[in-house]
Amino acid sequence: MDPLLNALLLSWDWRVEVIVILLLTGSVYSRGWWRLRRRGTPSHRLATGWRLAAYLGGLAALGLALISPIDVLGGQLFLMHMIQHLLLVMIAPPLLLIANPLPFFMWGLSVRARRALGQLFNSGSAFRRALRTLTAPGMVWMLFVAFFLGWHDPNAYNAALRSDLIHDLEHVTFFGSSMLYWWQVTGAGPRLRSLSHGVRIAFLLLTVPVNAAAGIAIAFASQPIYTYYTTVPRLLGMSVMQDQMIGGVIMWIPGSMMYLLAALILISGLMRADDNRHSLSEPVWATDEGMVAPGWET
Amino acid sequence: MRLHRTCKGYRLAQSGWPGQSRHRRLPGSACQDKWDSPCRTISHLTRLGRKALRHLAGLALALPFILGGAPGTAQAHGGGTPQLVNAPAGPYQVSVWTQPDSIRAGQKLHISVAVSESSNQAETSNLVLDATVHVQLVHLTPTSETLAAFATHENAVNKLFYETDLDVPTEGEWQVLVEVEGPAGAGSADFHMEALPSSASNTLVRRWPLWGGAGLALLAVGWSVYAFRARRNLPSPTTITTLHADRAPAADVHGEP
Repeated sequence: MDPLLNALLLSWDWRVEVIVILLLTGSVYSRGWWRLRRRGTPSHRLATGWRLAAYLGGLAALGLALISPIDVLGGQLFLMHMIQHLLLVMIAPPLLLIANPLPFFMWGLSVRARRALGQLFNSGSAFRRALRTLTAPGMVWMLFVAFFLGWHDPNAYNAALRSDLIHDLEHVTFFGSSMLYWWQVTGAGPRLRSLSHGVRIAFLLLTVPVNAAAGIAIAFASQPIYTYYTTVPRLLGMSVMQDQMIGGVIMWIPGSMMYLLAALILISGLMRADDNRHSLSEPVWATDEGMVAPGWET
Repeated sequence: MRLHRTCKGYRLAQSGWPGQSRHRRLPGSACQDKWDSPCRTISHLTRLGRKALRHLAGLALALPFILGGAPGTAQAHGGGTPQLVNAPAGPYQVSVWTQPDSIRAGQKLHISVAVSESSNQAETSNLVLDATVHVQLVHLTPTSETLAAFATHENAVNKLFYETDLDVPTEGEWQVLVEVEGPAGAGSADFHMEALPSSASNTLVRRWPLWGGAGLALLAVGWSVYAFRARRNLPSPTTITTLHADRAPAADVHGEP
């Protein structure tokens, strides 16, 4: 094998804290899933195979982003860093949240812990009220966009590449704000407010121009924006500008596609719900008033 | 009392949620099933699961202490402050980064080195992966205290780099000399850096995993005391007649089906 490729493939950052968190959350979820599965219907409908697969897939995406060569090479190639951010912001959170983790986590815990957790989300609890206030959709959207744009500022980005601590902070805030963002979109538990499909679709579509504008600005910049990359040895014969352009395009096109795809899934769900709505029976709609001016009945 | 007939002739009172069964055998009942008896398998599996969870929680709590107490854990990504960028070193070009940003006496200095073939264009030069890299720190005082170590791929997370850690014992100006020997010959490059005086607050900040771990442990102890007290105040099992074991938590935690 080519020594360069060999060295690249061996560059794994085995971070104990990341591995323990992934194993811990994965085992609690799986335990809860298995318990609910064993109970039979109707909990059987909740503990479906695709949910377990989605959750484990989400954890795998997190693992890939944080310990694989993608993470290590992010310090040398901007495009790798963009792939890492895609995994952290647009792949892992929706996968983890469509698996609806809270009920499975509760069933994966001991009775006492489950009751304590349940009490946190009780309708009268201060925690629930505070969480509801702090996670208003508008606030979550602004927080997500602020972190997304803020960390792509050249000074913040260069600082993150120079310091591991700031780099970790960048990833924690990216992932945390994306979990809040996708929580609103997927409607996973706990449901503190019921958002209509229309609001969720707007939530997604409003993010597309922000993401696309940032991607385009980076892809078509005439000089290196993130100067840290001018100080590291280049790989694969790729110049700093080529690397920057490809990274910007990754952010712009696949990044925007994820939001559009999610919006399309919601639109199709909306249309399916409309199709399934029962039609009115003839005696209801065929009244004299209804026939004279359809749609004007009170 | 909520009664179950989960196995033939065995009446069970359940005070927890299913899967967490605290089955109590009621007077006048007897379990007739053997291995597949739910009460037996459930309690066995629950016990195992609890044990595993307890171990994992213990590990999670101990982790900050392990990380905080571990001597000389290498820094990660080969990043840091660039000190030399494509500096000529004989037939090679050398780039060197150091972490942390400003070094203090008593701290560990992490040094990452990249070696590439000498070329007019840095972007097309190939990385040299089979060189021997020796790093020397010389204190610029009359005593000329010297520290030395080999930077290797084994010490590096990014296997394209050569990395090493060196303890900087004294404040003042240090010369860092990087010597490279490889198939194309040998060369060296150097730079100077200033080590600041040691600071107690810096040591405290560096040990943040230890303090974080202590805080977590304190929280865990507080939680255990609270849970113990709450448990003591629970009504006796005979009065837990209104608890519906099958009931989901009061909050809507299920989200969308």
